[in-house]
Amino acid sequence: MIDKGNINELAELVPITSLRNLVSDFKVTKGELFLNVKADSLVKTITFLKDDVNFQFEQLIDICGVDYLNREPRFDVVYHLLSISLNQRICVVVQVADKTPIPSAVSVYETAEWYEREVWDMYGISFFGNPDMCKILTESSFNDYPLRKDYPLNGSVKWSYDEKEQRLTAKSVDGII
Amino acid sequence: MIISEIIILLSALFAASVLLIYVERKLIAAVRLKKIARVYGLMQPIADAFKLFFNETILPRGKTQVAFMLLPVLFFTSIVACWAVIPVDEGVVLADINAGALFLVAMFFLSICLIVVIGWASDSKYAMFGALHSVAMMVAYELSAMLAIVCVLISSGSMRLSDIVNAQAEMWYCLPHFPMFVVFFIYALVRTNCPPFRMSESGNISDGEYSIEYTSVGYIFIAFARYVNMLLMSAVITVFFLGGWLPPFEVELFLLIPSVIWFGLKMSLCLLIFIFTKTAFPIYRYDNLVQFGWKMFLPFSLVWVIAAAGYTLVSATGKF
Amino acid sequence: MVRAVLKNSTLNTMQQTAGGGFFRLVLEVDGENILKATPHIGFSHFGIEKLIENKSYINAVSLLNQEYALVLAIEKLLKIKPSKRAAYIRVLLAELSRIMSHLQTVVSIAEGAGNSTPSYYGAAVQEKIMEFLELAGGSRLHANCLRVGGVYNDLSYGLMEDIVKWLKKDFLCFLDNIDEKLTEDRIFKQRTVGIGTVSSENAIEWGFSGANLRASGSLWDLRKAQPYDVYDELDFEIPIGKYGDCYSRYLVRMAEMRQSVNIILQIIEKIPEDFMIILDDTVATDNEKTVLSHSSKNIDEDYNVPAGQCYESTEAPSGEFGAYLVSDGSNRAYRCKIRTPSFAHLQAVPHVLKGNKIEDINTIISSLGIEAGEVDR
Repeated sequence: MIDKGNINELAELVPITSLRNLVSDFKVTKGELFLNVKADSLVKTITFLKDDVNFQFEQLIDICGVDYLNREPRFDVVYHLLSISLNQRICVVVQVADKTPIPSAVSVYETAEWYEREVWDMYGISFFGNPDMCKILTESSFNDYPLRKDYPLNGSVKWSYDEKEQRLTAKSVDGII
Repeated sequence: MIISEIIILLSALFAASVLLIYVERKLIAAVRLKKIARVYGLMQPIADAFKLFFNETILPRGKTQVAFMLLPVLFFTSIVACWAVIPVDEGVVLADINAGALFLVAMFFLSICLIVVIGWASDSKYAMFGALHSVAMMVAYELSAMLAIVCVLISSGSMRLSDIVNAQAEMWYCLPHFPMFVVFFIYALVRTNCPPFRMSESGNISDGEYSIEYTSVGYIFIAFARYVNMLLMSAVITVFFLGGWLPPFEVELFLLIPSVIWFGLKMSLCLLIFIFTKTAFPIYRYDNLVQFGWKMFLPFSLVWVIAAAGYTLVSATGKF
Repeated sequence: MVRAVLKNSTLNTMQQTAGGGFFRLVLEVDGENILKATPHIGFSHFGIEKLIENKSYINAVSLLNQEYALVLAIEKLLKIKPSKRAAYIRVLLAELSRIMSHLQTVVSIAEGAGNSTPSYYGAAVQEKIMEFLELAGGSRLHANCLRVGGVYNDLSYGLMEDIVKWLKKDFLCFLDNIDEKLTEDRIFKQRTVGIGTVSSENAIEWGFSGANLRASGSLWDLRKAQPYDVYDELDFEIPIGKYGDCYSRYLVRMAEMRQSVNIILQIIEKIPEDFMIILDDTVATDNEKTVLSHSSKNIDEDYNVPAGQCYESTEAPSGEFGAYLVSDGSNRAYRCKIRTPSFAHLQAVPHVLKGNKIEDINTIISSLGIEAGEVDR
């Protein structure tokens, strides 16, 4: 097993490889390397990170969305990659506006499929190129994106039993967290 | 007269099944280091059955409703009917017919056929899958088990079960026919749902068993039939291979003990082995199990039948 | 002329995982063989990520190995480190619950193969470990021992001796017993050897981690590769498998349990006698407010975490368990993404199941150590 690689050495490689054309910004914080990329160069970036001999990020660990409600563009999509052969980690961050699809990473990492579906389910960020872009965790009748910051913790709908109609009825409620 | 005998037989079977359920649970719990109810646990199966009476009966939607309702009764009958020819003691038998062994074989086949029909009548994929599984497994062992019976018939020269028992006075057939005894015992394990030779019962195997659609009374019949089947298989093994009601040695002390007790003891021995296999072994996968039956047991039994027949012929006529 | 159209039958099955969760598995079968399997998840989804965003940091309680990554991530943002003794206690408890989890997986492999007796023996052992966790943290299953900056409390008097005694005497005996009953069992081997094989390349490609990745032949363990807490001071071996089938996964887990015992015995020898939860002064000076002293009053108070983001991962029993934490400087996480190993493993299940038999589904799924509760979060 290889000792944990030096993240600063990896960061030095970013401006001198072809990543410099793809990455708009990069920083090392708390021993982690974050790459900011534009949505259109995302697939190229992760393909390069996977195939290049200096990076060799074989595994996609996670795709995760972050909602910055008052920022423009609103969302971050964070890709965590792991290199088993070089013992390195890297984060690729893409900024996405609401209702803007971004390219899917399925063609590079097969495992991206479910993670992207989860991001779609939780944030409503859609990925084009994903073979099965549908909800994964919430039920199909659920029409909200629960992890968005403007979605209340108690849910936007309250179910209660209506004595008159003798059935469960849905009422919209103002979210009180 | 015959009716009262049938009632006695049925109630004896019922009492024995209740006891068997209790002993089974107790033994399995002992092996698994669990604690369960004491003697009062004997009432549990009765309470279960009582509760099941009040369960809602769910019928399939198709045209098979009548069959669905009648089949558990038929299945139960096909197993209980076998008990008619089992001699528990000299002369203590409901019908001592001269083709008892043949009757048993026929009934075994009939119950297997009924399982397929139950799977079909349930009108559900899962029940059908379970039924096909069970039947394929049982059929794989059925033929070699029947050949094992044929070996016994060759040696005893009679199809009447009490004659078969009496023919074992000198030596029980489990000794000269030991391989066939093993074959028949494994067949009994397959029929009584014991690992490692088990039908695909539900539990943790993902496809269902054939009785998956049954609730309420239908389920009582099927569950009861299973335990009667366990008793039946052990009784059949006792009659064919373990010398029925005969004591192991002609010792004065052994002769004092009533022969029914000997029959019961031998049955209990078989039942104990059935129960212990339930806790001790993993289950063979279906395809391995079926291969085992067809490719190993069947050729071997065929060879053994020919050898037994040849030996009997030579020893009877003195000619080679 | 009417021609019958033959279709492969589709089965809709509910899979129960060893821990008790459920997911739905739609199978397309040709006789006994699985042509296609599609898992459907979300039945035990309760939105832990949303809850963490809406609760203060100290309220995020989970299973021990599951909160470990989160605690490490918060500590990284706070720039604090637990004291040596607290770190040793953490590792001890984490290894105990690793044993518990591996045990569950091992016995449920046996249960998938049709023998449910070992799971009863396993339950008794798990009960004992839960007792230890209860003594350490106050709760049986959700041990609730880990705190940001340390642990809940020092181990109670004599607990370590009890653990050592139990491990050396009863537990190793139990492992030998299981070895004897299962490892050499012919039927068990027939049910597991060559079933659900995953090659080394596929394991990496499908996002495998932890014991499943090692069973396929990759030498990768976060405890060695990216050591956290005091794992770099401990000496242990990493068992790896060769063939990546159910049996390899079983053997790797059995060997890892023995290594965990080894680790715990080392911890008991090496654990320093210093004071409990007090923080390293050198790193804590710039964060006076967040210093968590040993008194339980302070430990239950809220604290703010400086703004920033970080990803921390631990070697949970079933694989890499990660927490991606975004903080905005308040006492609540702005965003906390929990990365669970089972999610990736379940995603690969259709590939693994393809071509196997229906009856092996349970063996394969439990050998991958998949927990529905962990998948759905």
